[in-house]
Amino acid sequence: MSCRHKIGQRRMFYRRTILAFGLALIVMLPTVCSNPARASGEASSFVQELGSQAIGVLQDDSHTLEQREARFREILVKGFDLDLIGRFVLARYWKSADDDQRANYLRAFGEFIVHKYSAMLGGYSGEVMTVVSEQRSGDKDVLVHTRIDRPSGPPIVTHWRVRGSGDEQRIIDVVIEGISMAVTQRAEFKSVVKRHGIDGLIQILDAQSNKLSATAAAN
Amino acid sequence: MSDRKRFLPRLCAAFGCLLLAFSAGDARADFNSGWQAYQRGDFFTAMEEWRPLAEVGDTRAMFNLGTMFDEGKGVARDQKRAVELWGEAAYSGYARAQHNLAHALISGGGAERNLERAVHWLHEAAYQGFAKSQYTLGKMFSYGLGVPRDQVRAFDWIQKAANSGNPRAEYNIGKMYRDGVGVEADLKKAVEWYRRAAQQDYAKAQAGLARRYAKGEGVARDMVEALFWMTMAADQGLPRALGGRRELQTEMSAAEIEAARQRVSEWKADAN
Repeated sequence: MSCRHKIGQRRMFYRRTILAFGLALIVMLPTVCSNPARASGEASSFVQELGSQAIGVLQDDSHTLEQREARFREILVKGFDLDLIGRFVLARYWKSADDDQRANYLRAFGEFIVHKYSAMLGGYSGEVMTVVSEQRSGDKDVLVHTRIDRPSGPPIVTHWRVRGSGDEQRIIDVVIEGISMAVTQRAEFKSVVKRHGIDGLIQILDAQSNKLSATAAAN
Repeated sequence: MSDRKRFLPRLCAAFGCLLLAFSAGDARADFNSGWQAYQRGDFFTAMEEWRPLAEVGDTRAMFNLGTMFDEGKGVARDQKRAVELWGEAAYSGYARAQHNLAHALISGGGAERNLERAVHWLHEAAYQGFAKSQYTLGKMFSYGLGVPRDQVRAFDWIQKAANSGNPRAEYNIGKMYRDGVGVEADLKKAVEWYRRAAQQDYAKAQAGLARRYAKGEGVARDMVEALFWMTMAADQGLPRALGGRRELQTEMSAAEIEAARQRVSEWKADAN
């Protein structure tokens, strides 16, 4: 298999995973036909609550798309432990980064993730997520298993890794059809850091986040 | 006969003007229809409305189509196509397109990474008074990206953006005054700029202002104000503010904590 073909396959894999992750974030519905007997735990409730907030934003057409996306970003910031995900994603480069680089990276990573996925907000098209079950994973985490039913196409199986308890619960990874968002993002960042270093990665993340969206303004 | 000769060109001219007026009206309607569809999340219709406008050189339609390709809205994500569209609009002088093109050149998304070209486009937009580009240009000077490092010019550009009310720029000017970077250190001015950004709900500035109140740097020490601003930042999910709020509370009496809580409630009630 040629190198170019391998790269092409990898790109397609990343793209599909990222799209699926965006879809999963966007469709967290609380109308969720959950099975209370099997998914009545704290983590399931947390995922459902997050979904309820997300759908509230999605359906609120009294606000502009930009305002809805801004609100969606707030939900992501509160629902996901972006610092923990950011450290995991930077992998071994986290250890070699100095304090300033770490602080700048975490800020840039958080902004990049929320900008990237909130921009997919408008892609919502009536998908419904059902909480199927939850199970403990190691000492710290709970995996909430969900199924996303779509108007077209087969359902997507998604797992939400939740850490913490009560008000401190946060999602630390989303696994879609067996593919981890955090692991996928880590592979992408590794190649960027190899080429441009940690400072280069921060610049690139900032540049991605600071682009402007569509406008009605004349200039 | 001569009357008829004069009359016909006038009639044609009037008819031509009428046609132009109608077509201009249609163009506006098309853009607005696209914008309404975009707001509904009907990206396919938005694209259908804006594509013909972009083809006849409407820079705003070009820019918007570019953002849709960049974000993958209503179409498969295609950053290269986004850069092409922004490039055309940028050469026509549209500041937002110049801004996005510069950021694509910084990130290397859809174009070869080229910091010098990015600085060129940031300058183009910044000279038009576009605050976000002024801010980024200041940062490029601050880090020496695509230009020699120059903190004085960094301060100048970021201050231009801050003077336009850009909260991120205001916060950065506050930091530069605090640390004496590109300008002589002045803690009072630092607090002023932090406050401007904090009042616009910029979480990092709120946390920074809280620290100044807690330390009594550039402003009289006031733990209630400190906790008030730290809570405002923490409520937005800023991680360092969550920890900062806990730290402040350990040094405060129950009455002080309640006073800060009350202040937050009043602020939020006013905002709504």
